[in-house]
Amino acid sequence: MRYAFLDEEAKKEIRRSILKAIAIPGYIVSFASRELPVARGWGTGGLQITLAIINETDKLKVIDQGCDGSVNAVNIRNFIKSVTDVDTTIDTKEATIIQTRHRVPEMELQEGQTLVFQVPIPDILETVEPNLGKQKLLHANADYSKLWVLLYEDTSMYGDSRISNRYPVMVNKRYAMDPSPIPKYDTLKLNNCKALQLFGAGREKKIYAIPPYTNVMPLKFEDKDFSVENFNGHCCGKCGSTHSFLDEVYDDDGVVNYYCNDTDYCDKEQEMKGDK
Amino acid sequence: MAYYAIKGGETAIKNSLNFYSDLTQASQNIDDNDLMNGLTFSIDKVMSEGSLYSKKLAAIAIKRSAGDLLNASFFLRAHRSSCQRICTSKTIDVNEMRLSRRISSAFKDIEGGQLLGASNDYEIKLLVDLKDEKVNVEEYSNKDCVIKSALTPLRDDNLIKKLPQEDEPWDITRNYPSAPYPRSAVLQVMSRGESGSLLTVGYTTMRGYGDVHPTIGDLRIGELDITVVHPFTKNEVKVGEIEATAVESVGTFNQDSEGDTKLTTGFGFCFGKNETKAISMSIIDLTLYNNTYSVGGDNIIAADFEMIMHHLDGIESFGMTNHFKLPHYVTFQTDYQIFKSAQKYSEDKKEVEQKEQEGVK
Repeated sequence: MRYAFLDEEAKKEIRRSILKAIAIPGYIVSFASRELPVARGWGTGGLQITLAIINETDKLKVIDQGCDGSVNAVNIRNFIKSVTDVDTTIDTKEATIIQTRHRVPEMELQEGQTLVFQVPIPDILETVEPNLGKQKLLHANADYSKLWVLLYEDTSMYGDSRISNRYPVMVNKRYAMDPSPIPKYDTLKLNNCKALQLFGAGREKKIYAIPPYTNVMPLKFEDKDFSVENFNGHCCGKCGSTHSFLDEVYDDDGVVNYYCNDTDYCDKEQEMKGDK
Repeated sequence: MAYYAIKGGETAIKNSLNFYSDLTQASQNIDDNDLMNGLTFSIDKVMSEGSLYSKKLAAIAIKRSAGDLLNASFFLRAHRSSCQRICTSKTIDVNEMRLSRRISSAFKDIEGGQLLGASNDYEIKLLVDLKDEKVNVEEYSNKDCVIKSALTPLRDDNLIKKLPQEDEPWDITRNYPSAPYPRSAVLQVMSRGESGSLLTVGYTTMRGYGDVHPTIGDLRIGELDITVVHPFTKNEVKVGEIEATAVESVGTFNQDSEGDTKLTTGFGFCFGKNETKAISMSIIDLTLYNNTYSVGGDNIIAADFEMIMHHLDGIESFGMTNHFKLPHYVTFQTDYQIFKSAQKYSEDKKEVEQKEQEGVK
């Protein structure tokens, strides 16, 4: 089998698409998208990006819903390792490539790191316009009025947008972009991020990117605050963190416990506090 | 803790795969040849949807997935990705097919006659055997049976509307087009589409959402030669044969791009023997390019390029549908929080309104 599974032509094409995506922040680039031994919808877009950019010097981290140990993360990490033999890590700081499904790590990312997002629905306009041809036209004209109307309608009925994750963002003040189904909590971390952020949608055959230090702002009205998930003052039951995204976990007695969703962050916090 | 986080998922996967292997192990005992000869239609379906013509690999894939044919097609597609493309074959003309079956419902008699070939169309579907009636079995070889489509006389008389054709066919596996979609790309999507999906969309046209009742102008199953131009000698070389199904269906008349009134047709083609799929495909092709006649309202799925281009692929639709099994607890929690705050907002609003009303009274 070839290094990194894909044939060289496929890798070249994906790299070209990535370069184009980086050159036009937030713009959606089409690519051929090869079938992988992992099912469509299970991270094949992110996987193709990772396989196209990875080499022996990389250190790979894979998370799914914030967790390195999630079945899908384990599966993807094992597959990439089996076809590249790169070192893997769970340490956010140490990783050069972090492939993620629906979370941005709590720890601030640094220059030289690449965050690869798995994307189910690449075009944010799908919420208001499912026709791909029309979507393209709306992007070309920077016509996001339908998104604004949606936001207005939601706000008037429910006091805020009904969108809970994959919240629309404006990239480089030009393109409205789907940040993948990350919680609103993570949306603000995309802005001015030091790391390169790449987005891959395998089934929909699209790639897009946010280069380091790019302006990324959630779509919102000037007189409304952008509210993110809050945990009513709860802190992590393991590390005590009060500023991380928390999972609500029901124990066998039906009691709710709150733990950090980012397991690596939680471990590090505990280590620092000398709990280990 | 961290160590366990990884090990937890790892062990769970290993155990799960172990149970699965217990469940499906018996299928590994089936001989590949038995499968290829015995379940020939399954093999054909998997090759067609998997977009790779190899009976041997299709048999292995079916065994691997213990008869889950969509999963088997997925195995073939994944394998296909790892194969380097050596060259592109010469365009196939289905008129040159060595026919093992060929019928036309548009004409009573056709050149070469109605060749039923191997078919169970006229079998009475009973699980018990009816009394055996002895027939004198005819000998037949498809070797010299090459006849053009039954629509050829009409086409020669310039009675048939020409459908769009690109000089260079598009290749959806190397470059997926954006709208407006070239017809060669649309046909490729359908030819490797999921049989059931094509059937469903094709069927909608028959119930009023399209041309209602096309006629099968030509349905053929047979062998086709695959030839390539040799990279060094530049001669045409035959590299193999494939079995395929091709269908031309005829719709009502319509105006072509020059304003001339012509008969409309649609084309269907797939690997192996799969008449239902090829007929469905030809009907969708017919509907896509002749939607102006349709009287079934605006909601004609079979005439909607976006619907056809993005919803017929079995590997994609099955992958996405199954991805809902992945953990979604972060996503769900964000949904739940928004739901709670929206609920509170409308309750508060209701309360205020109620108080205002009471104040008015």
